[in-house]
Amino acid sequence: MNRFHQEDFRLSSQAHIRIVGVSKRYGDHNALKQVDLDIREGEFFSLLGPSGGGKTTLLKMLGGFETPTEGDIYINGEHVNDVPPHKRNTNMVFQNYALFPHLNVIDNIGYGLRRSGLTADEKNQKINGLIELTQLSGLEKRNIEHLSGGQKQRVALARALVMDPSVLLLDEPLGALDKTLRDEMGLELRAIQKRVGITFVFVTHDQEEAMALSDRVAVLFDGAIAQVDTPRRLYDGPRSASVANFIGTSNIFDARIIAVNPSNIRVEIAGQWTMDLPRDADHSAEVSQNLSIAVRPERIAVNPTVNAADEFVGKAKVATVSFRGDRSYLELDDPYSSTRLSVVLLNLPNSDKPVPEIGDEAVFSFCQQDVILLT
Amino acid sequence: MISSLRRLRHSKSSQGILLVLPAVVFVLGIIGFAIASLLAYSVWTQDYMEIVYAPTLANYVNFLSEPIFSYLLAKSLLIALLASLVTVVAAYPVAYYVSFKVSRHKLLWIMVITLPFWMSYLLRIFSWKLILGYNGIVNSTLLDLGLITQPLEFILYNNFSVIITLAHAWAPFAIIPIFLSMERIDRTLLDAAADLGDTALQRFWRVTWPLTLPGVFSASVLVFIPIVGDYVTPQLVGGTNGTMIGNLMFAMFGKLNDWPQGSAMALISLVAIALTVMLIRWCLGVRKVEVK
Repeated sequence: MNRFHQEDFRLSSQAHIRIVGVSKRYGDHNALKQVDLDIREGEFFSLLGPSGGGKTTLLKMLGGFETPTEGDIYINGEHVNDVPPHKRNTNMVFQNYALFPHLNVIDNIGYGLRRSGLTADEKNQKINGLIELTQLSGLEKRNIEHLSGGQKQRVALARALVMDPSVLLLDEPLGALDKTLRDEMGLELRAIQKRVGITFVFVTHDQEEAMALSDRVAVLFDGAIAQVDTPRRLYDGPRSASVANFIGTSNIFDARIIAVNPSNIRVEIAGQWTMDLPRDADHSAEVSQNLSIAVRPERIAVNPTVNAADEFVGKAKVATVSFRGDRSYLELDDPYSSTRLSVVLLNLPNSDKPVPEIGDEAVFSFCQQDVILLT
Repeated sequence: MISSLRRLRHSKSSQGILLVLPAVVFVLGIIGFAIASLLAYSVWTQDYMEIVYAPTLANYVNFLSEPIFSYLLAKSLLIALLASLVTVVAAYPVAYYVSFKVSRHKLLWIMVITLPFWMSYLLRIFSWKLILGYNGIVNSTLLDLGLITQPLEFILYNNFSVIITLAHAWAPFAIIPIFLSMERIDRTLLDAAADLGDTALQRFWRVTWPLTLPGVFSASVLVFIPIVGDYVTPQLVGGTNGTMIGNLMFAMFGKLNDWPQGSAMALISLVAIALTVMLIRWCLGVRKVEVK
């Protein structure tokens, strides 16, 4: 199914979590600045940003461990600003798992069920269902210290899911795992989310992880939301240079408006190329206004594979070449941007076109569709 | 000899052994010597000024056949248990407050709390005599307030005053291990418990308390063991009813000059203490908990 169709379908469903004008101050430090966010029912939603961006603070507010200095938080339409954690229908998977060291696997998972009013049989059934879902069979009586990182991760997940939360909060749950396990657990997490259909709010600083797992991602810088979008839209249409650089790699060029027409604006890129863009009604545009544009490294072609149809062609010198098997990363010294140009070339099988070498003069090109206009 | 030592010094694993060797030799030597001499003395007998070296179990038989000895031992264990209980119960909230409610300068707090314990043990016992005595602070205050017409005598020179004095004297030895076990608790565990529906009180009983049990156990043992054998406190504030096994042992090795009987008494106490410590451990339900 097409991701965009899924997106449109979801737009119609109501907001499950609504965050309105939320700020958090610690003394002089503004951890969150006027954050507005709607998270939908059954969504895998990521809060992505560098450390200190405020994403964990926001997650803790959803769990009830922090209260907003300003603004309101609604979950299922209920105002929850001052509802303590033990009275919320949210559950959290903590960064270091926070498993109880004095209890074994099964007692950790069943911890929250003690006062649930369920009979012993119902509890066991629930616990066993989750042990199966998280593939922990055979480890029921195991001591927490004797588990591997991945197993601890599963116990933490099962312990939270057994509570039937309406929202599951995950604070960098994969951060402590090594690379291979992280990818594997990430996909498993995604599959579990699909199966249980619970809204997941996932905090991470790893953009690849956020892109691979999420329905939508909110990018946070310095306590403010920079952009909220699907992974594909974030990648294809970042709205600012900081998002363009945080999500993947981007080549940023300076640009300037040289003419404003009723239906379009004409932009000059790096003093070198001109292009016409459809005029966005929301944005005021003036002649000689400065802009930035971004071009993704894989959209740039380099000779000898340079595309004859491309509008924008330039000359540069190959500064570095780094071979990574399926692809090669190049850096070009070009006269058009302040930094080196990053280019990614696919190493196709039986290619008779050799990858340029360091010191080669290269011709590069890209076309108008590859240009991302930043604000 | 020198060359083999040198060879030892060069092998890496033996460097560790060399480092702990002096301490091990010292400790094993001292303890081993003490236990060995106690064992030896306990099977000898005293004949006025002479030691009779013919091995016999007479001292042990004598201990068990004299009800007063067993009575004093049982009483000492009981008083020590009660004093440890009072100490730990009083120390726990203090440690809890500093560990969970104080955010800065925790060690300074601990130092200040234990400051009164830096002065001489004897002085502290005497100050309890001043407080609890016939003309002491408690009595004179109550007299002045008109609550009593003549001084209370039952508050000093009995088991009660012994327990109070001991509990106060050993408090820092209980506060510190309990405090350390609390410091080692990962605070996100309490967040996790709250997240899973626990109220503050439930969090305490289900997370904090079980995780501080090793500290409570260390505190109990650290306080219990020395109290069983204490003879200074009972002598000074216990009066005639306050006599404990330590006083008797002190007399055996002193005035009564019956070292063999004293040695047997010491060994029986040792075994009784070990059994009681195991009992405490069982009662607290301390499992092998690794708190990281």
